[in-house]
Amino acid sequence: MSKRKPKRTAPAPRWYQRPWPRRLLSLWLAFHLLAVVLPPLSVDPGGNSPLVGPAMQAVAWYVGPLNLNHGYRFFGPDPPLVSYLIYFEAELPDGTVVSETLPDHRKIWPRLFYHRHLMLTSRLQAADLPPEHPLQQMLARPYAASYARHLAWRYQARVVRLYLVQHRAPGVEEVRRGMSLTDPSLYRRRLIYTLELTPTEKP
Amino acid sequence: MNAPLAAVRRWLEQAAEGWNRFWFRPARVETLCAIRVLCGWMLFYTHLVWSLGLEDFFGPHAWLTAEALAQSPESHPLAWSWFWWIDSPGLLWAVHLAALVVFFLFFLGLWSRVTSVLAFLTTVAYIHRVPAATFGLDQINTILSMYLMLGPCGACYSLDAWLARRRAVRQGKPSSAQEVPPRESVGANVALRLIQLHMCVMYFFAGIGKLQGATWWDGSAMWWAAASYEYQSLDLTWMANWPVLVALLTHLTVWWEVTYPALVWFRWWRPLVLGMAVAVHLGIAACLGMITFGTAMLFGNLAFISGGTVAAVVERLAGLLRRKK
Repeated sequence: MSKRKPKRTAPAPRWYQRPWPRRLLSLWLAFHLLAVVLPPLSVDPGGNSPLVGPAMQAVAWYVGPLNLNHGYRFFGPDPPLVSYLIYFEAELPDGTVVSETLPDHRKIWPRLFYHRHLMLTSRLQAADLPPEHPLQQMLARPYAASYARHLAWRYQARVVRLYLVQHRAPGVEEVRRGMSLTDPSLYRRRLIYTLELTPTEKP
Repeated sequence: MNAPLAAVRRWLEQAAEGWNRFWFRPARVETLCAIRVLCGWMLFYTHLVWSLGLEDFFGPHAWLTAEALAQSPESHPLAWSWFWWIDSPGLLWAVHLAALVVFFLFFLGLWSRVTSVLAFLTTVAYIHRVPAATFGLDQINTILSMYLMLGPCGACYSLDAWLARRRAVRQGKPSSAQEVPPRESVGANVALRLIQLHMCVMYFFAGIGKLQGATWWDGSAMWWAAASYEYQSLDLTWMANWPVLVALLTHLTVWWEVTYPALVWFRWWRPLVLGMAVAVHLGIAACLGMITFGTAMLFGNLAFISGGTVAAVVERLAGLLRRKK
């Protein structure tokens, strides 16, 4: 009887080394990369492209839940030449008025928390668009109403007046002439929303 | 007729080989694990700061109501968040504290496979509730946490690894067995490649987006960034007297962003490209008040540093600490 040498078998390949799992994984990777590229491509006016617009629609179910729907236009197309803040007046039931400009980095700390507020108020720059602009209806008005409602709750106020404050950055020549970044002439304020609660409404 | 077909076939085979080499070659896990430590800390800090205004941002009377968000282009029908179902302050705080625990465990690397998934889901739940208060930091937090959960991000620099080593010692296994889990992994490579490519996409679109703006062409953009009182955290008005420096910084920023996705892959260019990333992001952190965003972007850039280099740096830091003790 001849002695048989035991057959040495190669270790089983890991699941991703097999052809089909690898092909499926490759397909997902290709799709994912497409889903990463399409949102920044579809930033206005890119979404009007007959290729990019429908493609973006097709991947919306994927990029929406994963929070991939971003344009990555950091300080683009231009850095903020104007900053948008809010000034509010909240009338309390006893007649006193609380007012404040938000955000103020001397009062809100740490810097990240201040930046959260700055992002909130920056969204109201849409209020500066022409009245017929879609963002007026979709963003500026509902956000202003929502912010006013929040302030009414926070201060238990019956009336809240919300003002949009535009703070223009000074140009090089203006600063050379001695203008400070907080010169009063750089600020412009206008009322954008008034909330008046009826006697039966809760703040 | 056969020769061109054969050439096309050869080209396709080579492309497939290249694709497989790019994605499915095992990579050392140290880089991914170092990103987990840094990103985990950033996630913990980012969400700890929400504690200062939890009810203002996430409560039933928050800045942004569900009705306002429903009309907004910032929202998406599938942008889920568990905060929509929470209307008691007690529950809100309980959920928030649980989230902070998840982020802290993720940072420490305990039960990393589970906490990495929970960290990603939690990050997205916060963002979807209040998109109007989010910015670049939240985008990079999402990106890093999403890809970290795809790889073995707790394979080292973690409590998981420490516990595995302790178990191996207790069971009397030889030292090689203590290297569980593996130091090289395809999952780590896939995760790192995805971070690398996403960083390239971010920089490229940030760069070409700037090309639409006049100030990035006329060399004044850096001035407007510096002169924005709401952003600045250092007084940079002295730059008004240095217009050439302002223009140089402006043009360099755009050139760097646009060329990043091409040059960062070349060994000789990489130190320069990543060096610029360090300069730009530390500049943003120090001068434009976005310390968290600036540093989180650097964590993403770490994906281009090899595992061996990361291991050597960590070893040297550990040696310094031991010597101090």
